[in-house]
Amino acid sequence: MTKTIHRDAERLVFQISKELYEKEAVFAAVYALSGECKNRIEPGPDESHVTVTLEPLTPLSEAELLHLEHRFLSGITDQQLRLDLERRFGPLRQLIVEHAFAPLAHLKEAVKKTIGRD
Amino acid sequence: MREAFGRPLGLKVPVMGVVTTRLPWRSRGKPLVYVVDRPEALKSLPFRLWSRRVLAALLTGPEMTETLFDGIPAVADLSPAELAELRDGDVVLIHPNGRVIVAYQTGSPHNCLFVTYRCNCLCVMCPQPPADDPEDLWEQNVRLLALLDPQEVTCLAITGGEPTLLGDRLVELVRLCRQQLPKATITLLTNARKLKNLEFAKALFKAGYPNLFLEVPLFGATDTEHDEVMGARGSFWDTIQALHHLALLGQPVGLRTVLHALTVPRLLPYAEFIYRNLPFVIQVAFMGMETMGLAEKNLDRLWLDPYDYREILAEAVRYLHRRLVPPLIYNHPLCVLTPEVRPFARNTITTWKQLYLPICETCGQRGECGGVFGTGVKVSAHLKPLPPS
Amino acid sequence: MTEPYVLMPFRFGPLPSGRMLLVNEAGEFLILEPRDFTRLLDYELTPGSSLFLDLKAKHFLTDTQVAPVVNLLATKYRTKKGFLKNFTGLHIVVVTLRCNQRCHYCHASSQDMYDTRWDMSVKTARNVVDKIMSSPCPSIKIEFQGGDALLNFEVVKTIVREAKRLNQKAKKDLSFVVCTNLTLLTPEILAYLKREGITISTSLDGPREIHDRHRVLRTGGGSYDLFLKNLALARQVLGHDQVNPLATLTRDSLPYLTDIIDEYVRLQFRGIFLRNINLYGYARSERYQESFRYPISEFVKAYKKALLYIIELNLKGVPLTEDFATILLSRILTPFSTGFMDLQSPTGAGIAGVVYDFNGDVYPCDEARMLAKMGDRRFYMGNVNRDSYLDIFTSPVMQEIVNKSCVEILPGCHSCPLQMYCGADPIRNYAMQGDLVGFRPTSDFCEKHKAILEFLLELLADNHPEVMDVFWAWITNRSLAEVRGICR
Repeated sequence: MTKTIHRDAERLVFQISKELYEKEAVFAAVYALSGECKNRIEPGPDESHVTVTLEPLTPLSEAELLHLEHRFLSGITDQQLRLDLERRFGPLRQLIVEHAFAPLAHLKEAVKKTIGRD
Repeated sequence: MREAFGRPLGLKVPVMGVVTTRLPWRSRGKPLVYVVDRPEALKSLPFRLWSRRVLAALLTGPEMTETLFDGIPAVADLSPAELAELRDGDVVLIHPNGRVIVAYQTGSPHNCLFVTYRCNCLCVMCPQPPADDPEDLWEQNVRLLALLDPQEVTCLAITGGEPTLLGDRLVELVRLCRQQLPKATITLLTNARKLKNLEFAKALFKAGYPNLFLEVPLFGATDTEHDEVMGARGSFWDTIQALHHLALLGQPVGLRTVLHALTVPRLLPYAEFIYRNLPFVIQVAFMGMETMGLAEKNLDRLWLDPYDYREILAEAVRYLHRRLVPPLIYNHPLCVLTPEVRPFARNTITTWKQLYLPICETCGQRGECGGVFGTGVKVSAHLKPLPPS
Repeated sequence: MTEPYVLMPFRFGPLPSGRMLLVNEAGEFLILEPRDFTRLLDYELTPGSSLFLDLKAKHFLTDTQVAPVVNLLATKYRTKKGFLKNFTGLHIVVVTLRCNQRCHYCHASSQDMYDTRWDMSVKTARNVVDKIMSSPCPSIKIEFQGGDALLNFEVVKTIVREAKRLNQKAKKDLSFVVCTNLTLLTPEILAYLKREGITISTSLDGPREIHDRHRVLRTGGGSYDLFLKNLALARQVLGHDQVNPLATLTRDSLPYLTDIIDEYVRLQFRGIFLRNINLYGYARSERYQESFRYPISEFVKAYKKALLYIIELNLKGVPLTEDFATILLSRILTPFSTGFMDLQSPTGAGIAGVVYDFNGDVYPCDEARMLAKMGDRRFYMGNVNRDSYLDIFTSPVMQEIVNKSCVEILPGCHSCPLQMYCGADPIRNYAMQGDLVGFRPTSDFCEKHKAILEFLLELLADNHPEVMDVFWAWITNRSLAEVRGICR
């Protein structure tokens, strides 16, 4: 279960399901906020979760806190989505850039090999 | 091609020649066709008509007696109006059945070489569905080229069907055009599919440089939309590939689309696609539909009154004009266009197809307007006279 | 089971309005409602629907063939990166550090007016030209900077003469610009510039109070009056549009942007480039920190207001272009590459443009030269008097900064939807944040470009026809009337 387990002016603490969110996604979302917050990522409370703590560097109002919470939660979702999409079309992007600067003689075959259809 | 029918006399084979309105005095040169409307012109000549060996045929009106023709093949009983339209330098093709075709008309911007009836597509609005080629079509075109005056011809189109189906012969024809008519801009109308072969594109480019200009139809921003109009799967990507080859070679190319129910609704995404993917085209022509042939057959599915789509058309024209891709409007009368896009309209309907309706009598811009298709079955319900511009 | 369509590569992110921005590999964008975005990802879009066809036309998905889409995107991607093809086109030559002004924010660390130690020698100048003309770029722009370039005019003339001589064989498209504060212009200098076809780049920070606050003469006092007098003279000799100014905006300028813009309009300049101050050189000194160090959000706020003001002016018939917006809009709205050195991926420093210091030292950009001046020679590429062209331009310095300036792989940039419109400045990252890769969450550079790009995208999404007319007039460098099709 992914949820906010603590929110006050000093810290936001989140419990994040490892089944839903990969490490890269969590780290990327935390990175984006690391100009505004001190952060800690720790395993626990059990094997299938990690705990993320965000401590704002400057005091935040209630509205700003809620906004930060929203940004983090939508942040991990967006970042996880990016990882999924990258798996879906990442190899195609490689192909595009490669073909742009060192054109492939047999593009159709390369595409087929990459994603299984042309 | 404009044509007329008369009474054939002594014609055993088709005859092609250059029209002359005066009796030739030379005995050698291009075969001539003498247009004569008064019997007096042939009476009391100080020589025999057959001694003028360049005379290939005569075209005459009624009231001419056969004996005056001196055995030269002729088509008689043409009307004075028809005879009056023929000018020196025109090229006519006369069939043994008395059919006279004007294969080339001096001073007209609409002349073309019709090189094949065959096509590798079947557009839903095709005004002239594909057919087989007569055997002598190639020879006729080569002969026609030879009869043209290189000093006079400034533009010539090559069309069909799909000219690239001629393969190497097309390259040869383009080269012949350039060599024999050095002052002429040659416009090749082609769907360019076969030019996705780079070698073919290169050969064509070299043969026509620097006088060759291509006009290529493109009907949509996706293969789904374009292929549906073209009636041929795969034509979109073939054409895009060809267009990029042509850009690589530096071959000037323009695009054209025909406006009807399948192309108008997404006209703006179409314009956007052109700008982002084909920004090198030298023009984009938005063409009114000629409602004959397959267009007539599919009329229910295709017909849109141009007046009803005038805002979408204006938006697409504005879109391209802003981005330095020159838009043009072909085959639309001025009254169905919004005033601000009228300057983009061109007088493009072939002269003999042009039609002005009675309502056009009082129009103040009739001189600039190209009228409507006389060959079609349907015209806009909103034609009206305009005040002078 | 195969999906009904294949997703092609794109980047996405939420806009401030909450809608989702999608950008493809060629920089084409679409803005989607969140629920349509979800349907796209879950393969639930109706094939043939308007949205489906829009996405297909911009290669966000394909349901027929894939290989030709890859081919087309590759061509468009290559076109966008076209600035790489020709390598270095802009060559900035610092002919002297001497200057008669001592502007408070000067990042060229100007020196005393008579101290000729800081002049480029003729020998160095010749070697500079030699390196310049070795560039494979078919179009070369030589920009003379300083101090004030006019103080070493003999070397300017030497370089122009040498370059034109070598160009008789090289046949490049050669152009020259002299950067000067205008106060040292004489009729003789102007006659020379006219003869050789050289334009002037200068600085005008605003009306007198603003301009004179920081742009002071070494002899004391402001430079505004002298500037105006010589501006008129220069325009008379060279032509109205041959003198173009830049405005440097300090914190004091921000509340008065409309006044600064009005000043540019009053003097009938073609355009204005609203850029925030660079914290290099003297600008880092403690004395004027109040004026110089400002949160970038303040600049962004002022910029947005100013841009809307300029658009309004255009619609009232005043044809003033905002040059920064024009560059960004060209990136978003056209398929073409733009040559703006400060915002490229990989960096434009060294590739698109390069700086030759008065002593022949070569640097990828001015920031690098400033760092060297302050003792850090990390980005020194070589010296024209000692090293070959290849040694200089393929040096380990160049390789490192190229390696670390591709936004496609930088943390914080690699999945940003604005990637295709943005760029990296590794030397700025190093100077401001301590390493070439930089730290996006606290980067002013990122914050500024993100905010302005998002602002422009929201304006484009509004698609107001009058605003679009103005934008296209700027992008295509035509009058508003021409863009509207009124004069034909």
